[in-house]
Amino acid sequence: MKLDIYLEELKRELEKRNIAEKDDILQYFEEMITDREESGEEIDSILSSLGEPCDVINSLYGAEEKEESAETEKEDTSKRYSFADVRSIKIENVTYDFCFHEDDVDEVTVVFNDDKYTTLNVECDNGRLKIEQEYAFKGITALFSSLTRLFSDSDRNNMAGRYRAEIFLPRNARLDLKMETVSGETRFTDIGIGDLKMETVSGDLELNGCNFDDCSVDSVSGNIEVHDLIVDEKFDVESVSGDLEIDGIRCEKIEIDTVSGDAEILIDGPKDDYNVKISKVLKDISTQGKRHSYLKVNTVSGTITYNFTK
Amino acid sequence: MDIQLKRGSLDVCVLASLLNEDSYGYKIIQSLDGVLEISESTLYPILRRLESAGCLTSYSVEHNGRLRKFYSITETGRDKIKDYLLDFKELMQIYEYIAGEVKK
Repeated sequence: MKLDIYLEELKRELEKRNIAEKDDILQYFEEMITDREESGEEIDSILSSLGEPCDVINSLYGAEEKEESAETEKEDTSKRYSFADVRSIKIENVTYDFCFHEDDVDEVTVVFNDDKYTTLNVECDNGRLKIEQEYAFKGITALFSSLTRLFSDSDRNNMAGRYRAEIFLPRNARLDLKMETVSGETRFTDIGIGDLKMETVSGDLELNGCNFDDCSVDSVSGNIEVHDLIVDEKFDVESVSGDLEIDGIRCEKIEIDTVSGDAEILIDGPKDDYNVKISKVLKDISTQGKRHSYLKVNTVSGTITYNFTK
Repeated sequence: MDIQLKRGSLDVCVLASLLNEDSYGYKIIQSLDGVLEISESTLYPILRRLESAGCLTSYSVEHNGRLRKFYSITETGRDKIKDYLLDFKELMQIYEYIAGEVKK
């Protein structure tokens, strides 16, 4: 009788939780309890050792859930690669957001989170590191991604949490980087690189506190944002409709071409013996001084604002 | 004990208890008594997991006017035990190395 009451209560608990394998569980516990009774145990002692029916189910599914969560923890989808003596990096990217940092590492370290649809292939040959995104539907995805960004721009100011691939470079490595991206956004923060050649379709580019030997950026509709940039040689930017925001740049030569993108450019003031003369807003800026400097800006319909600070 | 290691060991212990003869829930728990503590609630998900992984099969036998569910180990289950023993052999070598270094 006590067994029947216990099993009835167990059944109610299983039904309450809508557990599909209800009959299996009932049969299992009925068999277990009956076997223990047959072996001479008292029913009270058996039921007491099992606990209340709701606790039995909790421990049954708790055990499964704990095991499943342990399994989930084990299935960490992030991947990490490290390579020593890297002299150059080439990246062919579609949708991944990349973030570059300098860190106290001896090797170039690449960390990214894979997902169900995309994979980054990473290989290093003779100091040349190549990262390539495999993508079955490159065009469609790029288009979809661009559209999605158009309609969900709210997190643009909170980019830090959105990067799915991070590259850590050893300090002062100054290797060369060539990168192509379709819709993935790219951010460089406090980093020194030799030559940077960047091509983007719709992915935005952000350079913060960086230092390059040479820097060339081509963008179709991706916006380009630059803060505190030092380029030893030439900073060359071409954009179709991507906007340009350049705030604090020092370099020998700047060339900016845009078709319809707006451009706001703030250039660090000239040093002693250094003069800047602006002839016309939309034409060349001529300079004179001990150091030669060069700035050339072309636009078809974009608005350009210059601010020279002293 | 590490949860993954413990989980793997529990699964293999249950399989090992079926190596020489088919068995049923209560008897499996009895045969593991003294090796490791396993409750009815712990055994149920293990049996289900092993059965869905093809490591064992089940069938019912009438006993004292009721049905008792018996479990039988499959070739996949036997392979799982072999793999575990091989892994454990490697683990023992690592253990001996670590223990040796600790003693020095």
